[in-house]
Amino acid sequence: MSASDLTIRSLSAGYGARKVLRDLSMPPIPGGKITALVGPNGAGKTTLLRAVAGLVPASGDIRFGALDMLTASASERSRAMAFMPQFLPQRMALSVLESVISALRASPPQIERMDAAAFRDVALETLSGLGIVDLALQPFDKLSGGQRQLASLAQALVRKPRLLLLDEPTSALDLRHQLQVMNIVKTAARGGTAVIAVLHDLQAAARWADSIVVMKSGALYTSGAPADAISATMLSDVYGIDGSVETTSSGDIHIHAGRLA
Amino acid sequence: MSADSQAIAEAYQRVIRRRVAFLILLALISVVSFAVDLGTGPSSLGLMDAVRGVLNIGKLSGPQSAILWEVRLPQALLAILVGLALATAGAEMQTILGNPLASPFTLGVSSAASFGAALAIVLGIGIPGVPQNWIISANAFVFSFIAVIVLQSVVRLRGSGTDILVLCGIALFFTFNALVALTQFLASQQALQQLVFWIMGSLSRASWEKVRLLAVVVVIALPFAQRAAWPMMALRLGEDRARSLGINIAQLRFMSLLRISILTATAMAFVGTIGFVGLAGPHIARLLIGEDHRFFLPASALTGAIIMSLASVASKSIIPGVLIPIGIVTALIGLPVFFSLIFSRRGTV
Repeated sequence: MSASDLTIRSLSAGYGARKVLRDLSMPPIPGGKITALVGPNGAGKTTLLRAVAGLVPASGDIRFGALDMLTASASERSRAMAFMPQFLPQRMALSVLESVISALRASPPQIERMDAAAFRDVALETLSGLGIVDLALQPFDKLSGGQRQLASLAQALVRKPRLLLLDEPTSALDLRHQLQVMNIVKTAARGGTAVIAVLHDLQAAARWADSIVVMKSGALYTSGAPADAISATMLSDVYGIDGSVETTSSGDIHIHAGRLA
Repeated sequence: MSADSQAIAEAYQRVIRRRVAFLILLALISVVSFAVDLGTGPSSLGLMDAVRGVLNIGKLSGPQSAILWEVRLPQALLAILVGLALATAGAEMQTILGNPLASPFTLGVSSAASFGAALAIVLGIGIPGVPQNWIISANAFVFSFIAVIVLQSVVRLRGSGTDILVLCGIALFFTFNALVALTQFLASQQALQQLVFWIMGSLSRASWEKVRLLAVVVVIALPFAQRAAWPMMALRLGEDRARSLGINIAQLRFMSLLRISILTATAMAFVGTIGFVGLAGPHIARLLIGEDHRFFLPASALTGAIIMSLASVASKSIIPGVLIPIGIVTALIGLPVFFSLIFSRRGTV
């Protein structure tokens, strides 16, 4: 097993008495790859992501390389992992650059000391990589939905995490920005980062993910390469729809959602 | 770094320099308003006399010296300190609760102080062992502290959700106000007058002991607030984000509420309930300087100090010879400033 694989065994997690995930185990999620979490609303995708991030009370076993994520301190976890939440704060007057700098400076992931200019330059470099350096001095409040999502992704990427957890990173983005974001995520993955993204759009999941984890009612339904995980049977079992899936000669997957089963 | 990034980096440095300049400007304004406050009052001790007296240049007559050192100076200093304390408390409260309406006043802390004072004034109930001339202050302190402890325990019992905290604050506000109304109903004519006057807030009870005590509290609490600037900013990015950054939010909130309670309780114990500063100081600072807490916290504190100091001047000059309770004046002079800032929609620096 490599130092940047995420393994999840007999994981139970939830809010108070309500357990969303029960005894969930899944094949290792490898570093350097994008893994998409898909499934219907309420399947436990976000809860799984939040459990890995240490934001939900959980029991069982979550290991990232040698790091035991459930017993690690919050600061140990935060040095390895970055989480991009689905909901972004409203009414926040920090500028994009300030928000990215504070995501870095509030708990610097690197051990070596950096001065203010170094923090600023790392933040600017991240914004530049996302193509939003021109928004740097805009207050968060004044951004469009898509711009906010990009700024939020910058707050995660600036920490150069080895494990990147994204909760619907492209939900507010138009096609162009989706492409842009997923390309950047792909670059991060090629650098060795393990990426787990909750994606609602199966077509996007099929296109971008190296492997797909399908969840249903708090349990694992199936997982594997997109061509294996996405099938007409899965659409009917998990989503309750009659649909068909075809793989083109170039290997692209096309999903046709038919009607309610 | 690319040319674009370089240009932005330079622009950001300019923003920082402008903010530092703003802070210096606020500090200068507060010094000037402090001096004007010293030179204002019913007796014929003008601005220049007061400044000469404080700097020990030239001689003041005996009575002039007494007015300066026993009345004007403690009052003017107390005004500045109360402004620093209440506005810092308000700024921290707005951040940790993520609610722009949060302030010691709106969350019932000042109502609790009023009730403590009411118990002492109307029923003569105080903490055993406290000297008679401190009993009102001590009660106000204890009750506002209790109010914050209640808010604290809500955080502990029900998690760090802010909605519940704000609702509990509102419940405290109404409960203590009802209790104050009850004591008012029971009070004698004379006690009632004294209580109403206390609740209005006044600097006339200033003394050197109070100035020293509040100065110690402010000098200790403000640097700790400043040290928490980065985690506080991370909290502004959202609770999940802050927690995923490894920030212990429960502890951050607890320490912040501790600072808030001591600052508010001490200030209110000495001057009564002054509501507006804790709410408006941070809002004005945010409009002027943005939300980078390294600058936002000191800007809030200084804005609070300026509001209080100018209010003190106004309370002495609106009706010559009459000292209007400062709690009334802060609202009256603060509101126009506040509204003009909101409606002019000044962008953040």
